[in-house]
Amino acid sequence: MADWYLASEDLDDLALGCAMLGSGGGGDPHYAVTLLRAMLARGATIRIIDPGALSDDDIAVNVGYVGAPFTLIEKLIADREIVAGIEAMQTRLPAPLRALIASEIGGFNGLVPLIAGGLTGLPVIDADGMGRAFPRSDQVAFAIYGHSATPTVVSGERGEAIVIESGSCDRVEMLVRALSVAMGSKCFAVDYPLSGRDIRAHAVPRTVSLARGIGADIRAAAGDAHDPFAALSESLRVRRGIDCLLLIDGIVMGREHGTDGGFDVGSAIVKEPGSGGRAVTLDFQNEFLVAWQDGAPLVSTPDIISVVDSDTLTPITSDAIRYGQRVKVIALSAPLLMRSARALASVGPRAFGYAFDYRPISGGGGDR
Amino acid sequence: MKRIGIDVGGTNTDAVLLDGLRVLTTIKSPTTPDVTTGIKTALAALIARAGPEMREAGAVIIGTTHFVNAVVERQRLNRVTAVRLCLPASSSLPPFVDWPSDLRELVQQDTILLPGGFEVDGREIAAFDDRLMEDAARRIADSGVEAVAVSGVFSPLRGDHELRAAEALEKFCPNVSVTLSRDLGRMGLMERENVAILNAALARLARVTTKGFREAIAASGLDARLYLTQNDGTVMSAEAAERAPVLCFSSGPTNSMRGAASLSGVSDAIVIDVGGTTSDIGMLVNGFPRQANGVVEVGGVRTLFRMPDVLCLPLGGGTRVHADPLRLGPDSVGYRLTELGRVFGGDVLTATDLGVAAGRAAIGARERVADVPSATVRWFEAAVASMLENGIESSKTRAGDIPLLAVGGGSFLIPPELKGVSEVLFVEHHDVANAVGAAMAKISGEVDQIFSDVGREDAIRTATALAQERARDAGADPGSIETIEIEDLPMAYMPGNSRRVRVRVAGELADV
Repeated sequence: MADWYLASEDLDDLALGCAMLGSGGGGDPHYAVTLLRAMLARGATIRIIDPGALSDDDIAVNVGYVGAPFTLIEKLIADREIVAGIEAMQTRLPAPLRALIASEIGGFNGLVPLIAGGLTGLPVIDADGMGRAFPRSDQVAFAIYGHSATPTVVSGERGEAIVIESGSCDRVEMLVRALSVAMGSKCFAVDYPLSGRDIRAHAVPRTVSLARGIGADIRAAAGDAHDPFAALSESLRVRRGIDCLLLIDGIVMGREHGTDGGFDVGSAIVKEPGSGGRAVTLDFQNEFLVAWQDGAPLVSTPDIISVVDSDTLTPITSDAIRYGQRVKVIALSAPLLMRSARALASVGPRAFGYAFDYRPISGGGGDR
Repeated sequence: MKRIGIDVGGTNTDAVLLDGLRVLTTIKSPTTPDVTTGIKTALAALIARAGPEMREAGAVIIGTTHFVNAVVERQRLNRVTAVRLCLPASSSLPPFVDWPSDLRELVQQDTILLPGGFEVDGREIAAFDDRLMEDAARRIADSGVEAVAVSGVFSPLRGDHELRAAEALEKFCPNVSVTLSRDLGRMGLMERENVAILNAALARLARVTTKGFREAIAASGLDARLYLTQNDGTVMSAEAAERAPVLCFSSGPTNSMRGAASLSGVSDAIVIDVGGTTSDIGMLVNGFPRQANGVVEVGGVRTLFRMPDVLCLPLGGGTRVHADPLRLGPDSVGYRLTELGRVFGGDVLTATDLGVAAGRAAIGARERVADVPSATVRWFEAAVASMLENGIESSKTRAGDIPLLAVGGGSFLIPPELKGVSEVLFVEHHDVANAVGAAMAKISGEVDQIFSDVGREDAIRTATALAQERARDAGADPGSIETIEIEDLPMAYMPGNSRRVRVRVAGELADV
């Protein structure tokens, strides 16, 4: 695929698509969209390149914010933290950085590399490390497929940059989270230095384009007076190679939650209207992980579970679910890269403490 | 205490005289472009009808859409300089960044970012810099701008930097009106800052308007205190409204819900206000409208503050009924109903006509709808019920059947039996529910704060005490203060078992 340059017209679609792929998590893309719109208005050039355009030995790094969604709405983005992190990473690399890649396409972080690209002039690879969003940074495909997280750079608004020289992926995740708390529950992380070869093998390809496409599909389908979901599902299958299931069309009947190890953990119940209607329960840990019906799992991670407004199909994040919302719960097939036995050990239901195995929603059609 | 409630709507200005909860007199008069004249006229009409009893009124409480209309219409706004205490954080998204360009050009004088603000755990992001603040204040004084909006990172949690900025502004530019974001908004720096800037942009209009209201009261010969109703169904003094006009933005739907609660004596219910074009559905919890949790756009600006959660459906007395195939609205003849509706002699079939055909109301000439087939009437009743039932289901905050309060000129369209509803109550004086809601509004206090390393009970107790103190300071009778709403949210990622607690309390206006 050809390179493309980000335009203002792409932003609303990108934000919608990132929210859909966020599986209920990943934070609000609004702030990133606002900043990108302002940057483009000032003449910033942001180039998105296909993974196929990288040479085997090109070096790229994974970028994204780590922290509480709640902090990210008060301590907004500061250019300096992004530039300082990328510059510090550059000093540890054997050759000039060629490009940036998103750790997760879901939510706010799906748009962060575009901001970093606009600030540094580096192109952004049309791919990401999860194909969605997950709670932990070591649930990225690069960790799953054996790449080192280090050197990892954590940077903050003062321009300070902390380098973690070595350590296992889960150890680095723990240290980064502790640093994030010390820096005000928000920091910028640059990690997983990868070669072009690694990216082609182990990144989920073309997810920036995909997010933009999904956003356009949602907008088009929402205008379908007959059956918006059918229109969306058809378009995702035919144009994006994604299987899509409607789990339930109903009303949010309740949401329970608490915190566990720094994550927002809980469940929400969606019920069909009328007595005797089906009910689906959604478990979440920041992201929606499992959809249950009558005590049996309907759909589970790594497939994407998204709760959308019944009429507009706009995704609703797990922390914004409220009693009485009319919603559709839909499932999107995960990319093959996140469905291998190796990936499932890290992001399948058992990795989140459930005692059942993953069963894909797709009948083999959505094999992106 | 006798009180006068006035609702200044788009078409009518309604006024009522209340003794306690009893409605003594009501009047309707046309709204005038000059709001003060409209109030004078309404008061004169009310005095003419109520007689000497009016002199005993101790308070005039006004609900107005004047301020929100100024923002929506881009009229009567003054310029604003935004000062944000945040550096070195939050620098990439400066104030005004997400505003519609026409409004930004009209309002933005200058933006100044300074060191300061706080972390989520209460540490300073950077120390407050007196010297830089002084420079900024002098620059503001030299610019001649009328109003300044001050925001700071996590200021609802710790507001001391915003307060120090206010002190400096008071010292170096004493004639400038200052809005602090901590006094108005919730968590979310950009949204809270936007609220502060909108508020500052209304500074001049708020001064002129409250002055006009006072003059209107004085000219009527009343010796009454002036209050304005705010978004959450409570009132503030004219002085407080002058400082915080944004808090009056959504008083229309709020007052109609509060009025419905008072007129019916029911405090937990669904309220449906059926107007000429639309129906507003809201949920009363403890006699107050449930608040929206999310972002609310005002005139294209993203804000996050106290607003009632109201669902608007395309069903009103003037909603057109189309034939072949039968279809309800969504278009409406609106205020021309009494000219175009069938029962009024026109030739447009409207919801009102079908309501009359169904025998739900005796309005106009019933014989003019005698030819409407009974199948059409049955279809209409089913279509209305289905639309309302869906709306009711989305608006409810809990499962189970609850009462429904029907208000507004078109409330006769509401069927007496609906799914999810225990009973439908048609209240007396429903056509002036807004003004009644204004007249009986209470005074509130609110706290929205993060607590760390404190148990849930202690956190709620501390927050409640602080909210009560704020209500007392605002003029509530201490003995009458009740808790309206408690919300606590455990927070992801934060150290030390943090939770965010929001408490709202309200009490009766204290007698002077």
